[in-house]
This record gives sequence, structure tokens and C-alpha cells, in this order.
Amino acid sequence: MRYKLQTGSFAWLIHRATGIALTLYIFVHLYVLSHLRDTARYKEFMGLMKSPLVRLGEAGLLALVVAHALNGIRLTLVDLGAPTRIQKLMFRIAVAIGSLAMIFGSVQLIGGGR
Amino acid sequence: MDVYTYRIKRFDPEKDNAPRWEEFRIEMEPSDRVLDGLIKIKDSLDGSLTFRRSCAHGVCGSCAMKINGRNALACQTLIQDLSSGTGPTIVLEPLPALPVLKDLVVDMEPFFGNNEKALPYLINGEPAPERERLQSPEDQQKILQAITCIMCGCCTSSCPSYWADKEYLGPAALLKAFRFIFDTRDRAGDDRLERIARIHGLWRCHSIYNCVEVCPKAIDITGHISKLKRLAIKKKLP
Ligand code: SF4
Ligand code: SF4
Ligand code: FES
Repeated sequence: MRYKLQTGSFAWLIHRATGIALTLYIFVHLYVLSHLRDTARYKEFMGLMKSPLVRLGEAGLLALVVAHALNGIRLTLVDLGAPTRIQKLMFRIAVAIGSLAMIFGSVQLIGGGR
Repeated sequence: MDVYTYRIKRFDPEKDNAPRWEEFRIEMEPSDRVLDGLIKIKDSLDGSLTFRRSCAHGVCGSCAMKINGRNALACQTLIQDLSSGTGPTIVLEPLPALPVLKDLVVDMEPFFGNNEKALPYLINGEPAPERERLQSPEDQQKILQAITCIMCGCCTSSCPSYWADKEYLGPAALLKAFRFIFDTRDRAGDDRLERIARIHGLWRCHSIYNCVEVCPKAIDITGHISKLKRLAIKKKLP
């Protein structure tokens, strides 16, 4: 069914998609961690983590976290009584903060600041 | 007068297997309402075109339909106010998520059935005073917005949570519950709250705001629902 996508439903779709993606990621994350049992394998894995592709992936992961967390704050504020009137404004503020966080974070992750 | 195209999603259960699109071209003033065009088409081009309307002044709530992709009252939407995205074409469909009976007429039974679950009437066993149960202006202020609901169904049928879960009470029924729970003359608030503080009730609302975007009475429905959520949490309901 086609229905006009407005700020609220757009934000909700992003929230659902990032939520599902993060849940899946958690399992992958725990699986990998639980299989790093000795120093050699740990070192080998950490070497893998330096590849540019993985770093790009980390920036992607950061994007998921940032989007989900900021919209989560927006929704919590609504539930705590923030006026509905400003839901779109809050979405825009979340996008602005998120973009800044992403610029800073990507520079750190991809630019090799470690 | 300009020529406008009405693109209408039609369905006649006696003839059609599936909905079909039909276009009508009519002359209208930009200040005319979408409903005026429908009446014109029915009067002069195709008498079989079926839609609901009664008051034609945004009071009865019967002319709700999907206009250019979003729910609205046909009698409260001016041609000139439609986003120019579709040019001089006006796309009309029945309300989403409700069974279509014919053309733009949907079966409102699921909608009113949900409303029923919120106990939409005053419950107060105390003997009534001689004239009326009084309410202070301040107390009335608390429910003023909720009272103005005309039960058009725009909100509930625009709600993605309702599309996905037909058991969900939907924004209109929750608003109705609010209207009585916060009415100082009512005594069945706790019972109502218990009925709506369920998985197919309050907690199905994900604050998507589609309902607020379309309410022809500009009611802050989501704000009311989150107030109910806070009350339910305070009372430690599931
Ligand atoms: S705010 Fe709640 S009730 Fe309104 S459309 Fe969204 S999910 Fe539905
Ligand atoms: S809350 Fe608004 S959109 Fe929903 S039924 Fe009432 S008047 Fe219609
Ligand atoms: S005809 Fe009554 S609300 Fe439109």
C-alpha cells in the first residue's frame, strides 16, 4: 500500500531498520568474541581489524548506533511529555547532532586515529 | 474555472474482482472543495460513483478518504491546498486498512468496534444532581481537544501500527478512552485504563505521528496517548 511518508513514519522506519540491524550485529559480535580464546588468534583478528574495509564497516556501525540512540532519545522525550508540536524539530536536531557525530567519528575510525 | 482530473480508485463488488482506476475530468474553481468535485461527477458524469458525505462542513466525519496519498476529509480539503505534486490531478482512494465496500466507501465496523472497547460513554453510579453533573472550566480544558474528535477514522486508518495489527485499538479509540479517563465526572477510569493498557492497546503506539498529521480537527493524538502511557505506568499497569 502506498501512503505518504512523513517525518514521523520515516523516523520510525529508520528506527526499526537500525534496531534489527543492531540486534543481528550483537549476535555476530558475541560469537566472534567468544571464539577468541588464545593470544595468537586474538592478534590475528586484530590485524584483520585494521583493514580499510573493516574500518568502513565500523563507521557504518557507528551510524546505526548514532541513529538509533538519537531517535531513541527523541521518542523517550515524547513519552516523558515533550510536546508533539516539536517532534519534527527534534528529528531535525537529531539529524544535525548525528551528522556531526558521524563526521567526527568517521575521521577517527577511517582516518586511523588510533 | 480550470479543468482538473479526478483519478479515483473504484471497486464494485458486483462487477469487479479487483479495484480499478478511473479518471474523470471536470471544471472546478481552485477554491472548491474536493467533495464538490465528487458531487459534480456523480451528478453529471457517473451516477454510480459511491462515496459517503453528510454534513459537508467537517462535522460528521463521514467523508474521510485518502486524498493524494494522505487521509483527509473531502469536504475540508480545498483543491488549491493540495500539494502541487500531482498537478491538476486529484487522486482519491478509500481509507487504507479498512475493508472496501464500494468505491470510496469502507466498512467502518472494525473502527467503531474498537471504539466500543474503550467504553465510550459516561459511567457514574452516583445519583445524578437535579440539573446536571457540573464540571469546572479548568477540568473541561483537560479534555477539550479529545472532545472535538468527530470519529472520521482518518487517524486510525493512517496508523502503520494499525496496518500491521488489526487488533490494535488505534488512536481514535485510545483518544476516546482519554476523553473519559480524564473527565472528572466519570468514575470508570481505572477499568478503562486496564482495558487499553495492553499489547494491542497503548503499547502498540510507537509515536509515529501519522495520526497527528491527518487529524482534521488538529488534535494532538500522540500527545494524548503518551499521557495515557504515563498514567498507566504510574498505576503500574502491564
Ligand atoms: S502516533 Fe501512535 S497511534 Fe498515532 S499513528 Fe503513530 S503509532 Fe499510530
Ligand atoms: S482523532 Fe481526529 S482523525 Fe481521529 S477520528 Fe477523531 S477527528 Fe478523526
Ligand atoms: S461530509 Fe461531514 S465531515 Fe465531510
